[in-house]
Formats: sequence, structure tokens, C-alpha cells
Amino acid sequence: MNLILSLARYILWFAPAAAMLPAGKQLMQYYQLSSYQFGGFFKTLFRQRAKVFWPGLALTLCSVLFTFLASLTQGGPWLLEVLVSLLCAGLILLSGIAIGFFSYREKRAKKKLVVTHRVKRLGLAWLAVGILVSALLRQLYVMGISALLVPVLLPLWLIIAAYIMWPVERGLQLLYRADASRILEGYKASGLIAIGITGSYGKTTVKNILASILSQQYPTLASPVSANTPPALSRCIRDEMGPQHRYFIAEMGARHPHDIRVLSRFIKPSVAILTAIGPQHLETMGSEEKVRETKYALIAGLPSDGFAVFDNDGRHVSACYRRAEVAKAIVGEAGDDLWAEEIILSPEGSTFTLCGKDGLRLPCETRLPGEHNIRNILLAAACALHLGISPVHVREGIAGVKAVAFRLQASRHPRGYTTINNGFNTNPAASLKALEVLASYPGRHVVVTPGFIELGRQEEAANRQLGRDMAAVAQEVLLVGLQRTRPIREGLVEAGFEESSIHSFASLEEANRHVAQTYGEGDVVLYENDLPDQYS
Amino acid sequence: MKAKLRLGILFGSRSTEHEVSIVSALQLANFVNPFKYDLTLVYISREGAWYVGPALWQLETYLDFNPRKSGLTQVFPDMTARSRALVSVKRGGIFAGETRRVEARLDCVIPVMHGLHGEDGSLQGMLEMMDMPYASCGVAGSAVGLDKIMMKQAFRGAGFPVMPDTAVSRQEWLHDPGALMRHIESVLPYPVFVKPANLGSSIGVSRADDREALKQALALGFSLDRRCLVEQGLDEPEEVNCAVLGYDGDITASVVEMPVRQGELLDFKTKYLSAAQGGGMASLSRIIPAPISPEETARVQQLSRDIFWALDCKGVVRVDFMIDRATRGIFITEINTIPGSLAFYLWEKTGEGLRYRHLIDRLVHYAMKAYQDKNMNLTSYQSEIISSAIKSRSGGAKGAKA
Repeated sequence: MNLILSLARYILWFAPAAAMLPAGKQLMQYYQLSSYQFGGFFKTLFRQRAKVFWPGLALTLCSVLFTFLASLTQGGPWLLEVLVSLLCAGLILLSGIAIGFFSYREKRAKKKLVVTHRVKRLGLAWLAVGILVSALLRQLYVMGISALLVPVLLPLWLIIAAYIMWPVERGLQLLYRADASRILEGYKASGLIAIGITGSYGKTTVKNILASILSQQYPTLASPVSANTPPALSRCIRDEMGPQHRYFIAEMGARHPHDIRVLSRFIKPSVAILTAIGPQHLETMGSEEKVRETKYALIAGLPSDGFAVFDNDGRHVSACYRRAEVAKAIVGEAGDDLWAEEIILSPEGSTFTLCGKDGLRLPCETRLPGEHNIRNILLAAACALHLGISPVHVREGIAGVKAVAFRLQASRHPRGYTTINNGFNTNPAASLKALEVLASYPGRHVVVTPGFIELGRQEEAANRQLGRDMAAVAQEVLLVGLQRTRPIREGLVEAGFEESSIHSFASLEEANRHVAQTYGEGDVVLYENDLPDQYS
Repeated sequence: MKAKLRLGILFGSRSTEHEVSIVSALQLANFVNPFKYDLTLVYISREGAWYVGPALWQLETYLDFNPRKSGLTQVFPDMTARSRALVSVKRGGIFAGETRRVEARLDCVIPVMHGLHGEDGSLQGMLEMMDMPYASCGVAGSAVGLDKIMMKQAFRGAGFPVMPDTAVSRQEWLHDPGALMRHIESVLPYPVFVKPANLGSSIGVSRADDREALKQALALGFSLDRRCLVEQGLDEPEEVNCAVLGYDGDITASVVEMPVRQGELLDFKTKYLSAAQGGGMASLSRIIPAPISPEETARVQQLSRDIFWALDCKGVVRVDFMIDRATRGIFITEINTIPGSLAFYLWEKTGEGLRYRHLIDRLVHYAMKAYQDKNMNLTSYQSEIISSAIKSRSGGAKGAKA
């Protein structure tokens, strides 16, 4: 009898710790969206402080209330107290679930929380921390203290759990990476060629084009969309690589200095492509020079018989080309190893002649829109030609590439207007290209944008420049966000854009509603950059 | 209770008629009796990779086919004779290593593929190597049936009525196009049809009424195939088709159909693009039975059965004919060893009507029957060759010593 009663009391005591998990789902999502990096996570927590704290506060209210209710039965009949305690424990859990439901709306999340093994492990650690703290608080002999203190400090317990799990996760990652590396080296021994692609933008497109061309010759494995970190590439290798593959194309992303060096040591590619160097992730990288040094690690890591392809941008990438000490090719301008002539652009794709220093002249067709995609094609083609793919197969491969979803994909709305989507991890140079594509369409041009993020100190200047660039192309601009977009508005006005044609909206939904109500036949709407959940 | 037969439907593959195959196969799959068969869909992608999984049941899967989509598992056919396993390779935890899993084991397969790498004997050869019962023509019949040049030669050799033709090759065309065209004109009067030898369907088939058109037709044909058949054409012939079902001595001809022509000839577009909108070949407009005399119908059916026998076919095939409007002469156009929609729409209207699900039963029956027949043949002999070779080697060594 006594045992059952104390068990019920324990359950009630620990219920807030358990309810914390469903209530704090949103925090888990933020942590996942920041790629489990503490720096980004803390910034997000600070930026979204309201969203971070209200679930904890709400849960505290519920926990205190129900614990108080249960305490009223103390001293009464023991069975009543057991029943009421259990009921209240259940209600605390339920309120946790309800709070989670309201704070993290699955449907509205652009990138949903994916319950991976890692998330499960973290959840368990979070629960363990909560229970431990509750157990310690029990020593204070203050009634209901756990109901008060555990939920209210819910983010703190998550952070502690994340710190506890960090070495565990790190160890697991290294084990998986070592395993993936062993598999990769095994296949390399029988002839697999690994190709690394890095750059501030254009990586994914170049990867797709190259995969399409190389598949014309041999089965090719290309890393999946946005899988450009060591854990993601480990996973790709472990899950997908098989004896049939003769080429492996790894997209390598860099958010921090050294990222590329780590990737390069892991994949050990013998062929590398450097697409572009621009101001991206400056918040974490520091300066454009740092970005260049980071990216150059891929070239520096090539073996002596390696091969590297560079885009002749006349700036950072060209400088990298001059520095490279392996066999190399540079593409883009007439007289380089490869360039394009007789370019005819259209919104549905382009035709051009691929020209080589060795006299190659290959008429090509592509469904990828925009001149920048021809640069991307040149990079992939130079790499493929070096690997011994025949020009005919190169052309077939180029013709076979489809536009990537979210990358300048055009579609027609039933109401008659065309939308172009560039809503993905954008940066100033890439937006300029999107505006170019927009300009190639006939009709009224509309841009919907929240501006740039994660550009650090350059953010304001870049947004102002975006405003000036848009003024040259667009007839109407829809800004998403009221405060953040102020520099864009200033840029627009500076360039002489009619202020009456600038519309500001608090959220993307409102802007979308405006688009659907206002535009019709002949209008072209460019969606430029979509903010990730932790910013909106 | 008897265990259900594990039936596989093989479709897709590296062929110009990839999409048609998908439509035909999914249609067939929906008619398979689930109480009788344990059905596995096996899709071969354009890259030649094999997949199984529930996602194969949805047409949407094949639009921008993405092997990473959930519900798809890549498998590798185990080539060991009689293993008949489709094996997947997965990697578990770090210490688990690679695990191989049998995703499906099949007792019999129905190939639903058109054109190269499926209808041309190559797949059939692979199935023979695996020792897998299958419901389509054998290696030789499939190969001859797809290669238009060899098919015509076989038909003519067996005494079947075919239009005069000549076979030409890309090498002749590149060497001297003028001479090649003069040669064609010397043996065949216009109009002629140029057909790539190995494509199946109507891709690259074009009609030529003069030298200029012939030049274009040959250029198109040779862009698609190394060898082309140039065939004398009839002016607006009546076209009729007849399906044949069976194996060995048990051969049945179907009702005769007359496809309704749209434009010059049933080219790829009219044949399949319109077909894709509805239910494969079945939805094309056609007249069943064909409005020809009973004698002509009987003759077409007899010819179809004879051709089936001559090519040692198995399962269901469709033979296409042309009838000269003036002379009422009947000529064989071609044989399709794996017809679109397996010509089920003809069987439904033949005799008392054979429902599609029963057609499937018959196909499986013939596949198993042919397999049993093959097993009656001796395939291995216990011989003394190796042991005597060893003996003679040691003997030879001794001899050298002496």
C-alpha cells in the first residue's frame, strides 16, 4: 500500500521532466536545423527567445497547477491520492504534448524535424538530465519544486544534454566515417574514381551535370541533394555505394574554415572542381579570403597525378588556378581550355557551341536556363573530357540534365503567371544570376524576397545592393519581413525605384496571398531566397 | 494448401519503348489473381539497374525516376542456375558489415518489355542462364522476331508471303550514298519503307516516294541503327493483326483486328503516345473483328499459327499483316514477340472470351511446361575428358623424361 503510494508520488514528481520532451520539440528542430552546431543553435535560441521560452513557461504553469491539485489529496484516503496523482501526471504529460503541438506546427515547418537515431539519443539524454535534476530537487523536500524548476529551465537541460552527447556523437561520426573511408578506398583499389566539387554556389548543378555525363559511360554515384558534410557523405557511401559504381561525385560544402580540408582527407578525390568563391556563410567564415583558403584545401589535397578544373571568374577562382600544382584546366573565357560560343538563351534552356583549346567544336543543347548554367556545364564537361568521355557522350549527358527543383525552376500558376523558384541557400552572386534569368522572360517582373542572411557584417551592404540590382530588372518588389528588409528598400529607392511598387509583408504567407490575388497572365514572379525556419 | 506461385513481372529496361513497357506491365499487374500468385514487380531502369518495392505500383514513381525514393530497393539477380533470387545488399551498423538479403525469389516471370534488351532475346538468354521459367518466346525466336532483316529472311525461307525487300548497312551508306540508293531503286519500286533493323515499334520507320524522301529516310534510319531494312510498300493496304497464344503443339489464334489508321502509318506517336493516355495498346481505336472475308480471316489465322510454330514461339505474340486492296494478297509485316498490353483485348473477344486473368494463367502454364520440357533434355554428361587429360599429361611428362 505504502509502496504504491510512493510510486504514484514518484511518477507525479518526474512527470514534468518527461513532459518536457514533447513540449520542447521546437527546440529539437532548431538544434537539428543548426546542423547540431552550438554556435548557430545559441544564436537561434537568442533570436527566437519568445518561441524558446513560452513552451517551458506554459508547461511550468500546467505542472504547478496539476501538482498542486494532486497535493490537495495528501492526507486523505491513500487510494484517492494514488488515483489523483496518476491522473495529474497523465495530464502534465498531455499538456506537454499539447504545448508541443502548438509551439511546433509540423505543417508549417519548411524542413520538418527528422527523428533520426541521433535525435532519439539526444531525447533520451534530455530525459535523463530532467529526471536526474528532479531526483536532486527531491532532496530539497520542497513540495512541487520539480514541477516549477524543471520545465521552466527546459532549454538549459537540453543544452546540458547536448553537451553530454556531443563526444558520443562525435565518436560515432568518426567511426562511421572510418568505415565509409574503408569502403571507399576498397572500391578505389578496383578503379573507382572519386571527384570532389566545392564552391560557394553552383556545386549541386555541376554535380548533376557531371553525373549525367559520366553515367553515359559508367554507373556513377553522386551524393544526394545538399549532402555535403562528412556525416552525410559517410552515409551516402555506406548506404549506396556498390561494386557497380565507377565514379563517385562528392559535393563538399564549407560553413567553417577547415571543413573542406576534413572532407578532402576523408574522400581523397583525385579530380576536383572549384566552381566559384563568393561571400557566403561569412558569419561563420570571416572573410572572402578565408573562404578562398578553405576551398583551396580541396586542390591542395589532390594527389600529384590529380586533376583540377576551375571557373575563370577573373578573381579568386582564377587565382586558385594559377596556384594549383597539379594538371589543371580553366574554363569560361575564349582561349581557356573550354569555353562556349554562339550562345542562344531562352527561358526553357539554351543552345551553344562547346569550344576547346584543342580545336573541339561541339554544338550542345541544355534545358538549364541562364548563362551561369553554361559556365556550370563547361566545368563538368572539362572534367568529363579529362576522364576520357567522348564528345558525343558529353553532349548526350548535357542534353539529359533536368533543372533542379528549387533552383530557378519555372512553373506556370493556374492563374496564368509564371513563377521562378530560387528559394534555397542563396547568396549575392547567385541572386544576380536569378535576376538575369528573370530578365530573359517577357512580361511584368515581380521579385518576392526576404533578403540575405548569414552574411555577417556584409549583410546590410549585400541587401542594399540586392535592392539596387532588383531595381534594374523588376517592376514590383515584395519584401518579406518588416525590419530586416529595410536595407533592401533603401537600395531600391536609391536606384530610383518607385516606392509605391514596393510592398512589405510580415510573412511569406501574406506575400503569397498578395501574389495569388494580384498577378495573372504575362507576369513573372521570382521567389528569391526562402528563409529557413530558425529565421522566420 | 498449395503454396502460391511466386510470379515476377519484368519491365522497363534500356529500350526506346521503356514507358510503354511500364504502362503495359502495371496494367498486367492489376489483373494478376492475388489468391493464386505472389506477385513481384521487377523494374529495370534506363540505366539497367534492377528494383523491387511497393513504389513500383505507382505510375508517379516513373516520372523523373529517383532511385532514392522510399519504397524502392535495388536488387541484383543471382545468376546461379535455379537460385532465382533477387538479392539486395545493405549495410547495417558499423560492426554489422554488409548484409545480403533475398528480396524476392521467383518461380516464373512474365517479361513485359518492348524492343531492345527485353524483347530481343538478350533477357531471355539471361533467364535461361538463371534457369528461370519465363512466359515469352525463347532466345532464338525473340532474336529473329526483333531483327527485321533476319525475320524477313526467315519468313521468306519458310515460304511465308512477304513483300520484297533489301537489307542495307550504315557502312554502305557512309561509303557511297548515291550507289546505295541506285541499288535500292534497281531492286524495289517506290513507294518503299525504310525500317531500322533492331528497334522494334515504329521508331525511325519512314515512307519514301522518291529519291529525296529515300535519302531522308535512310539518314534517319542510320542515325538509329547500323542496319536497315528497305521494303517495298503497298499503296494504302488494309492492315490486320492477329495474336497467337500457346506453346509447342498447343497453339490458338485470336480474333483478327484492324487498327484504325491515323495518318500515313501507325508511327510511334499515334501508336504509343495516344496509347499511354488510356490503358496501353488496348485503348487504340480498332475494329474487332476486322471487316475482311471469312476466308481471309481464316488464312490470316492459319498463317499466324504457322509463324508461331516456325519461330518456336511461346506465350503470346502478335503477327501484323498487310492486305493489298487491289489483289487481296496477304503479306506479313512483322511479328511482335511481346505485343503491347499482351494483346489481351483480342483474347477477350476470341471465341467464348478469355479474360485477362485467365490469359495470365495460360502464360504461366506455358512457361512451366516449356521449363519441364527443357529439363527432360540432358544438360550434363559425366565424361572422362578431364581425367584422361590429366592422365595423358602425366603420361606425357613421363614420356618426355624417357
